Amino acid sequence: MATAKKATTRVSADVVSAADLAKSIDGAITRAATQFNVPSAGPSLSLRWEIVGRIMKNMEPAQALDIAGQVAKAVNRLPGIDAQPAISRVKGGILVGFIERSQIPRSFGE
Amino acid sequence: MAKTIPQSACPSAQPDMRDALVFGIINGTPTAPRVAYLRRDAVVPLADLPDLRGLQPGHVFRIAATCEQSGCVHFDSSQCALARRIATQLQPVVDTLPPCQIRAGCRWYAEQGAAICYRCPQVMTFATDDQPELTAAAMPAG
Repeated sequence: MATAKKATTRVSADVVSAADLAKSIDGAITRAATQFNVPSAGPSLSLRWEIVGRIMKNMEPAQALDIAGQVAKAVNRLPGIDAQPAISRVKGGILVGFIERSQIPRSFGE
Repeated sequence: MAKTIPQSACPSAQPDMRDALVFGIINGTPTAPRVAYLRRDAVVPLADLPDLRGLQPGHVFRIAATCEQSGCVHFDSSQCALARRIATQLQPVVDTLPPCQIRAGCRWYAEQGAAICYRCPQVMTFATDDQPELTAAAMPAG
């Protein structure tokens, strides 16, 4: 006797890789801010939109600049990128990353 | 960066506990949070967390640490009563084992087997009223 094959959908847990880490944490913060009624300041990368990087806590500026230099050096291996190391003191630590001066608008209207 | 998995690890730990490490990020929705498990290459250092904007680490991450045994309200002479309640009171939310880095040292898995892993992604260390089943399971007996 033939038996019909039952269609099943496997439900798996999500996985986070290093490449998705920042996005996943931002999503979790947004979710938790709603769930626990904590006002959120939005995604961390928009604090200083012209700097692409991450906020580091408990870090001296010299060390931050060193890391920013390594980040910019790695990014500059990509074609068409002209990144320079950049750091900025922000609430909660130091924003460490890079800046592309050529991509910043020189006129803000008006 | 190599991670050292705590032995007899509690998978619902606080960041200040011994050998604490982040093994998951709590995504999903406010009414149905779900843990996304970190791959081996994804490291969230507890000593240098990103700005959580007023939230506690336990609101955002799942943290494992060495089980405090009799120092914990959930320890029931030889077993974790919290794990037992979760395995028996909550419904499974996945039907494949999550790719969890701490399973080899996880106290809950050692005591409850795969049944706890199918329920683990819905567990938050801080449950809210939106999760009545989890809140009930988290309530210590007596």
